[in-house]
Amino acid sequence: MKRIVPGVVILLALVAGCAGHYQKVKDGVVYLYVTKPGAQDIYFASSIDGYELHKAKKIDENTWEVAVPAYAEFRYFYIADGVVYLPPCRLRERDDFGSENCIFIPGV
Amino acid sequence: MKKICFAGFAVLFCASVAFGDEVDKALSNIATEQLRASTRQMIRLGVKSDDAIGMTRVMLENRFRQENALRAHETIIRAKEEGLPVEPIMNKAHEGIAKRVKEENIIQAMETVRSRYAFAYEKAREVTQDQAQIRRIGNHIAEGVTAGMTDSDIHRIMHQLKFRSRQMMSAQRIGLATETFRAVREMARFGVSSELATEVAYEALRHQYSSDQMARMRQAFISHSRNTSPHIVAEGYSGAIQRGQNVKTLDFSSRRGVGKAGGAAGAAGSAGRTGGGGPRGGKR
Repeated sequence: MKRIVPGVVILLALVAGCAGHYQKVKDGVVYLYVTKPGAQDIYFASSIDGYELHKAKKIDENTWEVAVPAYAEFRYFYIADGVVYLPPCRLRERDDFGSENCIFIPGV
Repeated sequence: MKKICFAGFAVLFCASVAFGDEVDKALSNIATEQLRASTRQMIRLGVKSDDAIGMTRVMLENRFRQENALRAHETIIRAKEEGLPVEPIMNKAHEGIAKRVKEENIIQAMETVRSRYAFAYEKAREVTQDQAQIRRIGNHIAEGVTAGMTDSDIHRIMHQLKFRSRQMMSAQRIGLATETFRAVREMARFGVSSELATEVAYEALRHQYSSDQMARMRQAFISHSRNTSPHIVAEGYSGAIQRGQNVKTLDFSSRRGVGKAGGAAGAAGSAGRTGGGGPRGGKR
């Protein structure tokens, strides 16, 4: 049992580190970062412009970045290698298609 | 009088021809006459021509059957006739297309959004008849439901809100309704259950919270939720409000993962106590 516990802890830590999501706001722009190891292409879509797809910029091996005006609230999601991908964001709502969308609210 | 009538008809005729020209120019090679006619109808009802034409074009470019595109138009036309916002419905179409959802499911989702806003605006009309305020409160309610609030919990909050504001002036009542549903929406977006968010709002209303106090509670909730589970924060708020404590002063530092809120001091967040427990919101 003692041998299993550290293994499980390491496994959980690895799984937790597999996908991440954080943001930085600077000069009226929110920079959204998504971590998705192994992804070839990540696109960002939001309610700002009728969910047009924008290719995210790869900034290191596993992390992708998009810059979006931070003046108003918007809903968003990603398409990772052709599949809808929702990162572990704090604010969410249902999307009426059986999944959810992330929400950005200025100042929150 | 005859001249005025003639001028009026002329303006309407010219506008109609202009819409026709614009729609025909953009859609003649891809849309049937029936679909172009319903696009014109949307524009006549006040949908921006770029949006109406753009949505129709995108649907057809994504191989929507004409009958489904017509159903999408019907949903938007109905929303417009009911005085509901069409942007969330049109956005749902674009979102579904971006997510490569089946067209039937997109049409269904658009109707779900319309229905949700119809419910929300009907609730908002119980508070005020002012169109701008109906829009504001209605949008908060609809967005709260999108985030997970149930219709029955919205009914419960509205019932308590009406009881709490029965002797208020109109502006106060509208302000309190706005801030209450805004607070509930935010809690739901943070993942707090409909039942718990309702309990917090219900307790705040029962303890005579004003619109300012409700707004401060929402801000404090957002602030506390940065470092603590929103569920724990909401549970802490519910208890604190029942005890007449100021939620802003709650300390969650030792309860970030599990358990409930620590002690609090002061009573600035509550203007009075009427005793008893709050209701439990039911799920649909």
